[in-house]
Amino acid sequence: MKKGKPATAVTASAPLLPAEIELTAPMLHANLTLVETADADLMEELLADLRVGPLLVARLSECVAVVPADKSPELHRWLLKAGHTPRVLDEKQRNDQ
Amino acid sequence: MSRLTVYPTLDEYERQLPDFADRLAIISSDKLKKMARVWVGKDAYKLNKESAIQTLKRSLRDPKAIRQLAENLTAVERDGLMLMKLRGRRVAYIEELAAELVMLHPIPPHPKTGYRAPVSHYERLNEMLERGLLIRCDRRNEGIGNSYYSYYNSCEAVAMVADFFQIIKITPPSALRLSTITETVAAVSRRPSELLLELTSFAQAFDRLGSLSLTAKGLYANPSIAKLNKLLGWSRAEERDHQPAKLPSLEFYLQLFLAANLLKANYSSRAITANPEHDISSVLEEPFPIQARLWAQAYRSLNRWVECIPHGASFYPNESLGRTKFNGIRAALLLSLGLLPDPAAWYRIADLSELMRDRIGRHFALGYKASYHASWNATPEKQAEALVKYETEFLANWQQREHVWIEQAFRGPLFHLCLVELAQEPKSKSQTPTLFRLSEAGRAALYDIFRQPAKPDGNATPTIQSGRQTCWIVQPNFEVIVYLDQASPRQLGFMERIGTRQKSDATIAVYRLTRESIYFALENGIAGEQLLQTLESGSQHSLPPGVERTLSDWTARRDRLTVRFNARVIEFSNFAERDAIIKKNKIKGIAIGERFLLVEEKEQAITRSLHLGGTINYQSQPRGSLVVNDDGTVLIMPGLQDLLVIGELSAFAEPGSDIAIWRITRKSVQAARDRGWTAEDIINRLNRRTTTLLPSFLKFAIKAWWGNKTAPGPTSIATPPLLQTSTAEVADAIIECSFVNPYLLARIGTCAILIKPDSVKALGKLLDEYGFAVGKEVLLPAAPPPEKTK
Repeated sequence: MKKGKPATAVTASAPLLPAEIELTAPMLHANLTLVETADADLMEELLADLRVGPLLVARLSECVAVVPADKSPELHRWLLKAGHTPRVLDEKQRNDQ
Repeated sequence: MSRLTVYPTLDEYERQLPDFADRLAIISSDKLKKMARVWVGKDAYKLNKESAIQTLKRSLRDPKAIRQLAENLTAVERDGLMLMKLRGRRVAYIEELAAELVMLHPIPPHPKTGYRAPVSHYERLNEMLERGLLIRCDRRNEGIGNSYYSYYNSCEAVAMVADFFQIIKITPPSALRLSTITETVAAVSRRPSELLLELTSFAQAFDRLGSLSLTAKGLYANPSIAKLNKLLGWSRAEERDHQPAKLPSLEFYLQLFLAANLLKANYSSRAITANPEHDISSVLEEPFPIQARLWAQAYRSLNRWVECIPHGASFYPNESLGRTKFNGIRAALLLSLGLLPDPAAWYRIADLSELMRDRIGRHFALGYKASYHASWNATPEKQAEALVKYETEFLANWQQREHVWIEQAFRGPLFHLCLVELAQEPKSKSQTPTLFRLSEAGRAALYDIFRQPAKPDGNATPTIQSGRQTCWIVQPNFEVIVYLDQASPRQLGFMERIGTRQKSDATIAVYRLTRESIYFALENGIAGEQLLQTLESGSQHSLPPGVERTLSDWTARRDRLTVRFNARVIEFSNFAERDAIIKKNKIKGIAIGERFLLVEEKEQAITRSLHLGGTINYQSQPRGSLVVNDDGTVLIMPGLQDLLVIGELSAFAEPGSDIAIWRITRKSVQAARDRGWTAEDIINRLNRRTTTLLPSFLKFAIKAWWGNKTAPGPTSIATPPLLQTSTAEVADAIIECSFVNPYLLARIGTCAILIKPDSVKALGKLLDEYGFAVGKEVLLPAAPPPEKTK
């Protein structure tokens, strides 16, 4: 097997959004893709993963990260490939039902 | 290829039954009198057209008249209505009913010539149409197959003009004269459990698929078919000219479920989906002899699939969705199985084929029908010769075509659907089975329907017991061995959902439980606890501890990670503001972090309860919210910040003094590169977000900082000597001069040439020698003359 440099992937920073911000009124953010973990350790594990980490762009809390719309279609696939088995909830489908 | 011709389903025909009374006015008086005779007997010929119409309208609404009708029916009509009653609905496909009627009442030979007139197999059906007992569902009045025009606008179905079910009794027709066979060898039968496994497997796979897409032309979309095949693990039926179809095949089961009304095709939305009016699981739970009737009827009506295409027969599944002659011969064959003299005896397939040939063969064919030709003035010898030729051709056609099809029907779908058993004759040289007899399910579905009510009584024992019984063993290596004879369809369906089938045969099926299969089962609605309980309850032994522990782990793992698509989050300024809203109970949701709230309510409900500053929709392209300057400074425009922009910038820029100000620097780009970003990634990400064009200078800077060697490429600040000339011609001349050229670097303008730095003196001397006055002042262009004013 030929040895070579391992493939690099975009790794993540996913900063935690500030605890306080100036807003004139509450803002509604719709059609977001969120990744929610049961604990902060699992979130760190996801962020450190070369395939999944780059998809997580910002964090609302220690355990909730936001994924951009253009990366959403591949999120589930990469999570499965990384060995995770996420519960998938689609608010749009639930509302349609 | 033109679009498929689509016909309504029988359900749709039944919902839009034509009103016979409305059509009476356009029918001729002779025909009306014939119809009226059915109701009032010979007195009908005394009626004029108007009276006949009134008599018919009155009779159709009069229950007493309908009861008395039974006395005026012919045997053909009685049997025709009985066949409709057996179907349980007031409509029937023409191809099926027509063939069945001729099978029960063969068209007799001409009394003078002795041979059967070349009428079509619709003859008996047309008699019922003429007598006004049936009506065409296409709202036309002429007989079926009577005109060129009606062939191309072929009618699919006929309907009863009134509800005759109450006056028609189900009685067994006369049995066929078939010899029984007493000795057989190598008898084979198929267990219903094998068929149930395939039916359940198909139902589960389709359920997981959700829906099957159709193309604009109404054909199956290849990607959908490929997905369904992958879920099933069956190979797709290959293109075959005259070879028999292999079973199981996806196309067969798809058409079977469609014909059984368990699936529904919607050609306007281009999808096949489960029919919400029928529950597939409940159907599969029924005792197999009851199910067998459904599958037998569905097999009779299925289209776009055939057992084989014999030589001389045609089949165009991609042109029309209507019933074909293949449905007719299926109907005749299934009916004949209900007319066997002894349902438990063995018979030769060839004998049944011969009997069918004698009854329907002269009027029905899968291909071209032989016909008798003799000129009007032919001598008796010529006529006899023509008759012999016709008979020979007729027998040969049947043997090559219909008989071949009948054999394949027995060895293919009839055996596959557990309706018949097969065997060989002793001393037969061929290995191919040539004998058949009805199976238990076949008797219930095809023979007993003439003799018993459709629903079983309390004493009937189902072939497969429904409900929970132990029928599998779970092994420590995560394999599950299922005993098919003991498993109910519900248990089979459960196993199909949670495991991956490795292999199966007549008695057992082996599944493997994997993380993926358990995950997809959980995703598709099976709760973790229910999964373990059902697995335990069906197991003949306790679950191996390792398996139980691992399954629990897999279930728990799924609970640790959730992905939400299309979620709605409300952002507040701080913790206190969010909590105040929660305490007031204005909005319900899950608190996230310090100042976010995940809500389930729709946007309209939220805006009614809470005054919002705005809505940001992440489904579409991210909104432009950045101003990017040449020097790498990035400003997030006030009021346009969304949840992602800071995270995106932090990947390749440094924060400034204010959260809204960032800077792209050599250091930040190199840090992004070390994390795997390319220069193109950074530029693309910025391009998506800027409100103006990204400065080209910064683009080159990013590329250069990243380490790109080709862009911006090398640059230079140098002071090479410049030779200027007054005109372009002079510059041309100098360049073209062979002994001057070696001193020159490059021409940079029409009148400007760069000189090699160490050639200044030599070139100056040379040009001076040849009269070119060489100065040291820069030659500036002449100022334009001043404009003349009036």
